[in-house]
Amino acid sequence: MRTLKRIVSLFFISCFLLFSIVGCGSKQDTESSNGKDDSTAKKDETIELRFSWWGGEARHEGTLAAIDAYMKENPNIKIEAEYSGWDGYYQKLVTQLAGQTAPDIIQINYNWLYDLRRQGKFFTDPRDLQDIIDISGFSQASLDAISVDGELQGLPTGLNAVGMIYNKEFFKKNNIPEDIDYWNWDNLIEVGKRVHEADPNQYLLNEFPNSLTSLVDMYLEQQDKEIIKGDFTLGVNVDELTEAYEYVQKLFDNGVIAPFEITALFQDKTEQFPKWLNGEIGMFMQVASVVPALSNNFEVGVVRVPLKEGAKSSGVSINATNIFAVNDNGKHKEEAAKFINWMLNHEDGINVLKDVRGVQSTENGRKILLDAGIVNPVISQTIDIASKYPGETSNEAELNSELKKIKYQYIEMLGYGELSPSEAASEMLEVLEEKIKELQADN
Amino acid sequence: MKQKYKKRRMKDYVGLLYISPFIIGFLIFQLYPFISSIIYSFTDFTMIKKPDFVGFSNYINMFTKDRDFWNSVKVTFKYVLMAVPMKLIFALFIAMVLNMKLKSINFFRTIYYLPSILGGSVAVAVMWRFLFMYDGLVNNFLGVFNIPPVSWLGNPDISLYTIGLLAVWQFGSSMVLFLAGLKQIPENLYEASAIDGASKVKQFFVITLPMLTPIILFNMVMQTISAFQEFTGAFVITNGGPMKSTYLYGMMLYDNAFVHFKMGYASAQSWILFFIIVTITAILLKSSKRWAYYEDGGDF
Repeated sequence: MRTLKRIVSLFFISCFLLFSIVGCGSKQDTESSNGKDDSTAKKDETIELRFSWWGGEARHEGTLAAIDAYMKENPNIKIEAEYSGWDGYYQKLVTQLAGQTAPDIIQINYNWLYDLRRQGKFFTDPRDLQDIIDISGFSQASLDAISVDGELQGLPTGLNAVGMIYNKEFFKKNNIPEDIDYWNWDNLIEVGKRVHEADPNQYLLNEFPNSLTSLVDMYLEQQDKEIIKGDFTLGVNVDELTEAYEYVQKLFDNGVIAPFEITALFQDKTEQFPKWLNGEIGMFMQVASVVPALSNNFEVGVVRVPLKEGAKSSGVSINATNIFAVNDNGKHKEEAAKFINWMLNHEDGINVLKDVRGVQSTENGRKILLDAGIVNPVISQTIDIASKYPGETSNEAELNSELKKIKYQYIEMLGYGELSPSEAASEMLEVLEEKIKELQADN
Repeated sequence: MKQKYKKRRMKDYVGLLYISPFIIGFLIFQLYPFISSIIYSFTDFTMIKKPDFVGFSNYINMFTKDRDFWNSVKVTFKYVLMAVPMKLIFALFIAMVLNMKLKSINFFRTIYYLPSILGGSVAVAVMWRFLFMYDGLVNNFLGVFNIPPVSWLGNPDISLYTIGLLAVWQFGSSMVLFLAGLKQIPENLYEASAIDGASKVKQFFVITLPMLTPIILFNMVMQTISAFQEFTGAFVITNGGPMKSTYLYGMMLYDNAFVHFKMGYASAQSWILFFIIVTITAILLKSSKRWAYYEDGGDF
């Protein structure tokens, strides 16, 4: 009986082992034969491409439609969509890049370029695929903005810039002029105070800690100052930074800006932000591409950011966002490039994708959509305003994740009243200096 | 004799084969990362770049330079000291209720176990955010009684407790163990004490609690270990904020590893966490000799 049991069990185990070996083996077989296909590239063989992006509902729908249209035109291409919201996208991507399992076509953000490129070369320079991708339609400035040390990391799918996106109803109700050039730093406080006094539930302005950090940068840039300069040195002294923080303090004290206690939870989740959805927030500084998500409940408009009189720079930069990059480790780089070219340069591609990634970054693309009347007027207006009042593009130091985190931390402490403006300013500069030294020692 | 020995060895192999799926998984997914993380903790590994050996500098920086480290240790201890006792007390309370001889008690036992099946999933964490946000259901409910809204997740003094509540809500597994323990307490102890005139409260403290101590110990150790590693709630609901008040150790680890790419540093931090957990567990087990009661003497 015992021996029988043992024989039966051995049989099952050997079956299990056999299957697992066979299973592994057959997978390898298909992989290697796939590799062969690539070199002989028969037309009727299917090539699978993976394509990942982040975004909201409208972008998902538009991109999926583009994929369908492309696959119909090219029956030998199968594109697998891997899409999600913004949260966690970057972390997943980095893990995939490290494990060499990243998709063939990857949507990346301009502010990761330096951090990633310092780790290794992940993306193919589109100029290496120039006979497939036509890059003539992109402005040199937009390409420079997404190059690291002269190496182009991908192609911008849209232009994006921040503007003050406002709720039209709210402005009417509170008698606020909808004049694009209306705002400066003084009347922001005056109007904000009045609005909040009229109804303590409503606030003229909302900024989450991260956008408030940008607002401070903007405030300083209009005075020709920046906290960290491109060469990784500090560009402000304690007094100058204290002055900027004192201004922020005034925004909070006068009820101009909604307190973090209520709002901070919805940072990066503006689509779910109840106070905005209820119409209790007048405006906030947002990138143009989120306009569709913000205008679900009511009509929105855009005005330029508060501007100091005589400022040389507004502090608003037009960024080439939502960059399409070709995975340098991918198996089908050329097919990936063909698809990107179709989306960015081909009329069909442009017409399907519309403005789901902001205003088209090629002139031709903009023209096609304008003619068709597809561009969201608020989005294109935001870009227009930003080009009328330009600022400097972000430098590597500004995009460094660790330095950004420090700036963020101190805005938080200021906003929650943990530190006074002068304390926050002097402490932050100290910490920044320390971190900069550490970063330079690492490199 | 030799024959017998051989036979026994053969038997061992069969057993090993049976558990081979687990062994293989363990070797690849647990032991290998475990060991490689020791090595990485002495390097400047970034996941992608070739790691360079940096000696103890990761450990030294952590204790001397890193401002987040001590804050996260503090927050995590606060969290463990709050969440574990709350969870155990609540689980015991529910177990006592469900131990009563009521009609259709099995139905209620199932219902009360449901939150634990849902677990600490992301979906539940998202729900938590909507419940406790400023304009959320909880504040709306308080509003009915004219209680002013509380910034459950936005206020740095309260947020950690709100996250802790999420852990308490998942009391199910501890509850099931308590329930099993309660059922094993001999009924005659209660009967005898009742005859001697002990009240229900007195019975709880002199019979129920002492008899449950082994299970309390087990639950406490398990829950402490998992509380030290808590991540989902803080990550999904508050992302460590406001002002790092919920910046648990796990969050800090994650940020260093996946936001700043400092894998070597994160490995070093994970080893410190490991030592913290081992030490606390050892202290708990050691101290249990003084307070855990075993009918059989309890040697382990």
